[in-house]
Amino acid sequence: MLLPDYYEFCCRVKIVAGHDALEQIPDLLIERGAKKPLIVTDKGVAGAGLIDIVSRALGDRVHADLIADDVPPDSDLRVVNRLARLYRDSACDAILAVGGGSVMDTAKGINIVVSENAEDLMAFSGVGALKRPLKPLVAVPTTAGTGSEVTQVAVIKDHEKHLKMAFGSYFLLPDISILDSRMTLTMPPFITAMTGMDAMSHAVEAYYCLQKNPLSDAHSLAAAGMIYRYLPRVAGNPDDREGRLAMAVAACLAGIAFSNSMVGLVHNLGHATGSVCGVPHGLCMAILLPYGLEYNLHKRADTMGELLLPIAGGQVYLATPPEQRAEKVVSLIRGLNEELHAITGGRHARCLREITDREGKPSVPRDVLPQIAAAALLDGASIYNPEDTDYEDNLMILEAAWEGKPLDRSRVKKG
Amino acid sequence: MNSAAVFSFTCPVKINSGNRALEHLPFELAGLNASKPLVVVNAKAAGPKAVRTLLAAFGDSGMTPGLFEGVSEATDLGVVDHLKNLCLEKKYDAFIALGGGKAPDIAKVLNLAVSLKTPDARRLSPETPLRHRLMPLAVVPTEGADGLETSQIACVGRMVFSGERLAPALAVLDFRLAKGKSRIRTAATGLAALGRAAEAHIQADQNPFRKAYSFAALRFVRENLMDAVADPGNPKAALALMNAAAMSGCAFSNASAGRLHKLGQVFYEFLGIPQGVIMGMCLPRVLEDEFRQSSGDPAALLQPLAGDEAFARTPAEKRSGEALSALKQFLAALRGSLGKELPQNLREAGVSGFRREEVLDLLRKDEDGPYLCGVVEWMTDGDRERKG
Amino acid sequence: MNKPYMGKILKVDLSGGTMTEETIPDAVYEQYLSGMGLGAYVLYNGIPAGADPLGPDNMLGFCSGLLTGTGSLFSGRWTLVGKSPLTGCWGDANCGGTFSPAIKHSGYDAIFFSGISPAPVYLYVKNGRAELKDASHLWGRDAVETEEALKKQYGSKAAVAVIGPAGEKLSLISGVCSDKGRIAARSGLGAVMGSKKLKAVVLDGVQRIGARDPEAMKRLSRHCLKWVNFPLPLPGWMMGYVGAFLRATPVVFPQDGILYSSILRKWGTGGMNQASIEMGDSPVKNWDGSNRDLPMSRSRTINPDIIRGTEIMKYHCYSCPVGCGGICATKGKYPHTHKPEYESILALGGLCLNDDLDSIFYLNELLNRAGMDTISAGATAAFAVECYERGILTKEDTGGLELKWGNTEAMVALIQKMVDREGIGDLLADGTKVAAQKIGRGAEAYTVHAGGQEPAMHDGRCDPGFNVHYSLEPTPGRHTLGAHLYYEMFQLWKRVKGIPKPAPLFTKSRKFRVDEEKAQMAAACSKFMSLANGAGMCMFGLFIGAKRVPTFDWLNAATGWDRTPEDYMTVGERIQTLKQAFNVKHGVEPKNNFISSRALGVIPQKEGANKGRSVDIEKLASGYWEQFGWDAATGKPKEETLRKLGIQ
Repeated sequence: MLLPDYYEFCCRVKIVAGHDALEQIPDLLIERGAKKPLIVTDKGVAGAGLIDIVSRALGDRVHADLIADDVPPDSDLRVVNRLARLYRDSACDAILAVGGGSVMDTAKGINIVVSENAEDLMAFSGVGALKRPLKPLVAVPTTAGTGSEVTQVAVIKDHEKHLKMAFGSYFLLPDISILDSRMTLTMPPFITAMTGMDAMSHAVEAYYCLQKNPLSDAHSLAAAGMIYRYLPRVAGNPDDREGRLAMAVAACLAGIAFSNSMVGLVHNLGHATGSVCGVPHGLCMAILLPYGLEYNLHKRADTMGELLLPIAGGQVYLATPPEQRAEKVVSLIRGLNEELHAITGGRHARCLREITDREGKPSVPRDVLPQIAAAALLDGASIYNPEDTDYEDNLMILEAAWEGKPLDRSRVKKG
Repeated sequence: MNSAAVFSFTCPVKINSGNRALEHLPFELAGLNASKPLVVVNAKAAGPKAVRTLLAAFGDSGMTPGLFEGVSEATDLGVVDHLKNLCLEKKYDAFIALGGGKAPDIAKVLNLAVSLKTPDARRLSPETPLRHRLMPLAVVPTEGADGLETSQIACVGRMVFSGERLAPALAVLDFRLAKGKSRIRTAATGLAALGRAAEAHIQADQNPFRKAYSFAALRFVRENLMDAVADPGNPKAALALMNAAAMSGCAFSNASAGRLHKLGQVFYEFLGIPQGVIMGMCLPRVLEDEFRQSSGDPAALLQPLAGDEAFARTPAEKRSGEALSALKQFLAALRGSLGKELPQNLREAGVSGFRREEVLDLLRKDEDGPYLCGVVEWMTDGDRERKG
Repeated sequence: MNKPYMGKILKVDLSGGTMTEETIPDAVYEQYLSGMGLGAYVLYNGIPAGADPLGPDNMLGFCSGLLTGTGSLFSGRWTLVGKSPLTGCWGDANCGGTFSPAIKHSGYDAIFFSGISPAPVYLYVKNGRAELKDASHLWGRDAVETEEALKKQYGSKAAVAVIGPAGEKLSLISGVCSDKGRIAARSGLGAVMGSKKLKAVVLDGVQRIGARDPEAMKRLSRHCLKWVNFPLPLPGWMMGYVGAFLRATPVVFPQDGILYSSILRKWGTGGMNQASIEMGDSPVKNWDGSNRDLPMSRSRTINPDIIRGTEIMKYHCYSCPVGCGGICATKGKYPHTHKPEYESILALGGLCLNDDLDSIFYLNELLNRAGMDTISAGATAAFAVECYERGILTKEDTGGLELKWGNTEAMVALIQKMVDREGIGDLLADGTKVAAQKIGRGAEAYTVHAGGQEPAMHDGRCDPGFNVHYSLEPTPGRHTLGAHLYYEMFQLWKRVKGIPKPAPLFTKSRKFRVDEEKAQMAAACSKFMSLANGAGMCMFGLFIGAKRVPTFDWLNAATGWDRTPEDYMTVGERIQTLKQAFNVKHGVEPKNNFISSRALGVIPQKEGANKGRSVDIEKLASGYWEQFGWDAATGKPKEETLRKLGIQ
């Protein structure tokens, strides 16, 4: 295990996991002196009946009737301010966020406003602007993928001023994350598949990118193994509670890993594809992950090869000669995408060209690839990638990913 | 994933490790809203150089830390009370524990006393409720660390304080402080990390979060202990061991206190024997018994301790046995390298009969008492190899 | 008002559970002071002749000193008095800490117990209101635990004196503890308290203690204080060499106690550990060995600097500016212990040929908690080891312990058995004399005791004065009453007329010559210390010298009397004679209290510091007795002496 010349690692979140982990919330809140949480969620979550489960679990020891279920899919400053007002008017003393990435971001935004008594959220944007602990924030993720229940960043958009405010601070970490299998049981297979692959991309990218460190490595290895084993299981069999919990845990592990080691090329291109074409983040990750591995393989072959053992197990590991292990990892991840493609009846796209919108039209036409490649240059994630990338590299990768063909590694500029 | 019950994991410790890690400390403390830290150190144990290095790291940060150098093995709650008054008067708002051993213990309890504004710290006890957030505490281990620095327990005056909030917010591991001089102290650090990490790693309840920490700790011990013992001044190996110790403490905080920990702890508290020395003595025996009683999962040790290849090569049903023999080989090699310096039994460690009786008296009160006493009896014997 | 004494005592009859307050006339204080003098006065009249020391007729008194709390220094000692079950003689034990002022704060000068309680009780006195309370929940618990439990109940300001399990089990070498490890250990009075089923005395009062002339008290104390801060130029490792020098030099000069008090301030009584062994002051190997058996290379482990290294804080008794005590960190179950005293270290160390300091710390705490005398316990262990080595005790007798010289583990196990009164420990728990009687087989030859009590760790072959006081005091075996060395340090001749002044330089052999001067010196020591024990003064403070520590002047200022030092010496003489009269009343033959022949050097040692020395106690005895007007042949006070001193 490699000891970097310098590294930092931090995850101050208390993680509570189990099939009935939600029932712990009242105790945990009371321990922190809170009795009246504001429950923040979105319509989708509420509509799926998840809030009812949470409310039942909260029982009557804490007030559980203050539910704000109108968080939009895209975080919005106005919503943040409105809910912060609601928090104050109702004299709440904690925030309980139930949902995916945008709900978490919104909850973090509300927490800054109410804890710092902020009029202008902008004053706290950037890294390190927060100086002291905020109100207790409990995160209950409903997708096993984003890892935002353990990240210290939040993005709030000001749609009026067309501004995107980013916040980064350890104080933004939720106090508690609750991983409960009931929260993901109803997730449909194709969403399960792509959020799961999102988590896989966190685990794998964290393992080979530049800021990797021993602890992020340990989290990555554990996460990668669990995801590879359980993702097809839960995608094919949504009621598998064990698998659901395992995926929630694995996604959390991966989230801890990547928020401490940062990610590279896959996320770089993925973010760009997402913002240019508006396609789901997880799907981009799933498609681009093998290419990220291939692109960096010449620099990180040994490291990537280490992933083979947790993913494929001892026999495959031994049967594969050491120099081929990294390539084996790539092909196994491609295979996983294929498998998920089959399980979801084709809804899990294997290449960019297969992604379609609701009407069945391709979401990523070939001619936007240059635009994506250019947009990717503006994203900061590329600096943690082991191999440098420029516009042509991006385009080359995107084209291969669009086609669904393995990358021609002889064309990678080795710096 | 077959977890029937709810499990939880928490690690409030941020680890900063490596080159000039100390220089990050003022920035980190400022980020925790602290402006006037108090350094708590056993200057005799840590050495003046460590103190100088730490203070120099504050350079032009604008922060001027206070310094209390007088921690000793004997420091008790009376001293804590005195320091608490000083802190309240001088308005210290953060604590830095430099070195291993008692300094972090004192710093943790001092933090408790100051944060709670306890009128009389001498009345603090493990039962004192811990509902408030405490002030930021940074631990800066030096040679002789045992991993408890990063844990959530603190032992003062034969009392064990424990609680999530007692754990430090930061652990700063710096090359300059990691380098040691003494082979035996270096070995003790490694063995303590090995013991506690192994114990956390094999515990029956599944907790992948804890296992990530214990896995990394075990790997580091395996890969670096021999190098570090051969040359305690090797900064890379020494820092890796210190990382292992810090991680083992984090894992330990999330595990139930195991047998090795209990044994190491009581001999350290009662007799001042480095925890690693005791753990090294009884490691194979305790793990073997766990294996026999199948109360844990020693097979999990094979991958971190023997490496990926050996792990993959071994069929699942043989992994426990292989793990144990890998461990024994490792310890035998360590003994070979240290020779007489590393005591093999309690007699060599200078434990007199009457002190052993006191230890036994305390252990008897433990729920696992009969077993632990048995191990102590076994460790007493001079030639246990013969007895098996 | 404004008398330095309260004028009242409390008498508790444990059999009936009744308590009576008794007013003591001023004349008694004028004649006997308070403390030990008052105790002797009450006990002489109160205990019927021939009473069983462990029976209901015996009385046990907790006496504070006349000067305690009056603004004087070094006056925080209290005296425990009773008929000793160990010696059958007058018994007293002396202790510092905070209990002495607490007795007075309760409104009494002394509290006396008689009778036997049907069930374990303790006495609780709150501001002069006394009650007996059930102590069954405390019975069996160690002294420190009991004190902590009582202080938890009554607040940390309450002063507590307790017996440990040793006293409960009627060990004749048990004492009474206070302040979690200060112990009035000698004379076996813990067993008396145990026999009465009295577990503890808890005092919590705020009664003011007066003084006739407080201004004068203050002035005298301030003047005295400046003699205390005398710095010591010696490092600890030198002390052994100091001892070796004192051994080798043929001529000596009178020692100035001011040096001794700086040793006390720096290290406590243990400062003299190595020096004492080297110069032959400390007996080694059950009084049979010498400094050769414990050379400096071995005694290094008990070097005072090492002990000082474990000290967490200094401990001062009430009103003491020296603070020879300390709280030390230890290994093991208990985080700290009272710093072991010189006597404890050498009795458990050199006397048993044990150089393991950790075992000494361990035993110190063990015995303090059990409430057993460290001197007698160490001496008894040393005796047992010698019996074993000589084949008088076998492995079967000892329950498997190999009691060889230097076998620390076995010695610790033995003392543990003594505390538990288990196996051979039961036989040994009453001291050497009783043990030797039970063992028979000639074991008596290896005991060293005076009248049944084991002497302290000062060898009368090095300083014959110790043998005089061990053998001739009404409390046999006590070392805190006088010695040649003490006489030099007291410097009484500077204040009291008609007593000899030592020559500025004299040969060592002169110390061993029996002449009238020796008798005068010994008698002066006895009188002075009896007076001091009546006043509640600490001997270590008095070492600074009679001219610097104004005992007589404090007494005058506190009481308003106008007496000369000679008058006060007569008070001491009266107390001393009353104690001897007590012994005679109880049928004691003073001659039977002579210390064992081994300590007298009847067969002189063949090597070491005390090589070839012996002490003729018979001759010394008649001289000493004559000084008091006691019969020179029998040691019994003459009629006319009693009359002259006003003793009925």
